[in-house]
Amino acid sequence: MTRLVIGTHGAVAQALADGARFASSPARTTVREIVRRDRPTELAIVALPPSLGPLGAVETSELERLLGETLTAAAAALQTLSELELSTRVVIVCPTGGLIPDHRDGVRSLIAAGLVMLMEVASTLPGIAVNAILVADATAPAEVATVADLMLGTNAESINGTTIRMDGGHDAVLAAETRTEELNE
Amino acid sequence: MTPMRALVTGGTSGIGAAICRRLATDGWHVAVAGRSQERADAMAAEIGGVAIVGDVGNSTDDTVARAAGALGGLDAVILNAGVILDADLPNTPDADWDLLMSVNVFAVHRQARAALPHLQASQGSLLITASDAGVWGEAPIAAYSIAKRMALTMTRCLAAEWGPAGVRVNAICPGDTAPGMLTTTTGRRTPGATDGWLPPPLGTILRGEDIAAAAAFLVSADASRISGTGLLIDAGMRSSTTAWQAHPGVDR
Repeated sequence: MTRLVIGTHGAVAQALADGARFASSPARTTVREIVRRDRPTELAIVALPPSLGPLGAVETSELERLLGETLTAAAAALQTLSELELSTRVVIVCPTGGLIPDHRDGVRSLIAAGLVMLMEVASTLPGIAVNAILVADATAPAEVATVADLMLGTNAESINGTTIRMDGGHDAVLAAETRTEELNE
Repeated sequence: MTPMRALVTGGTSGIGAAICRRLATDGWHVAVAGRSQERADAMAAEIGGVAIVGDVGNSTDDTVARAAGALGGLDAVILNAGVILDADLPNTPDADWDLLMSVNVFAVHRQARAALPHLQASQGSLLITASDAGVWGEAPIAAYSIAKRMALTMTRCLAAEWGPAGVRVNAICPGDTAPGMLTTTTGRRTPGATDGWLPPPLGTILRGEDIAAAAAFLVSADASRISGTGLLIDAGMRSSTTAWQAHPGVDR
């Protein structure tokens, strides 16, 4: 098994890369070169940039930059796996806003939504099983690594094109935090 | 009575043209935006609107400001311009990916931000043309599906962000609509036959007028309490994993 971790974003990427090749450059051409060189059977794409706040407050150029570092790089990696006709399991790790957006963290929610759809359309590619793990900022990197290990290491062909949300139930219902506080009072 | 004022980008053909016609019929004063002077002039002349020529994919494009100037303000901004690429992920060239994101995501973001002060002044609404492919993706149009999912997320985020300012933000999610998208990443194509299209449960391929009716509703006063929604207009195609087999005309 050859595991490759692509991502520039902190402790989660480091936890996933334990003992594996780690590529920090998000540039599209570099990502392709690394995938061709390493020919991974397990690929983790970590896209957990710091928050840039709400969408309306950010310049479009900033959005372009962040999308290039995350979504575009991830797409390039998946394209290269397909080109090489490798049999590879892939996980994409991104913020929870990819399923239910948080407007205060709109930029990351937008990028994560694109990554989730990327995962969904890529799950149809022959030889590639790709899933997404959606994490909150507070999610322990070790927990993410545990789940990623499971999703990368399984032989279950049925686990493909799905998402696991690791936020402790925060987004399970509307205003879960507030409701929990009310119940505890 | 002063007419309501709307900007429609990508308003010179297809769904955008249908929206222009419908709004004009409903009494709106419409700015028709597109890249072609000839097509924009023709549509503006047809509906008694004004033509705005520009390329929303250009980062310096000022379509919104010119439309607001021409109409004396904006009550609705309909960001409809978009491009499509008929390709799965492995067959999506980098240049096409970049252009598709530029027009379908970045331009929408840029123009939405430009529209905010005008819509805040009028307590108006923003409408983004997303797609049924953004609701539930389609591998043969991979990059398009990704971009339209992001357009839907943008809709929801901006609805929450700008609601306190009195601005509504919604999206329409059209299904396959005849004659299909004419603007691709590689240029404009001529309309093709729709014979091979999968029929939705309601049995008929959608027309631009069907989408325009939903758009006209969402920017109207009747929808004054609707914001953050992505309205599917797909004749039931996204209702089930096998909805395309529901109609009796299809072999099962």
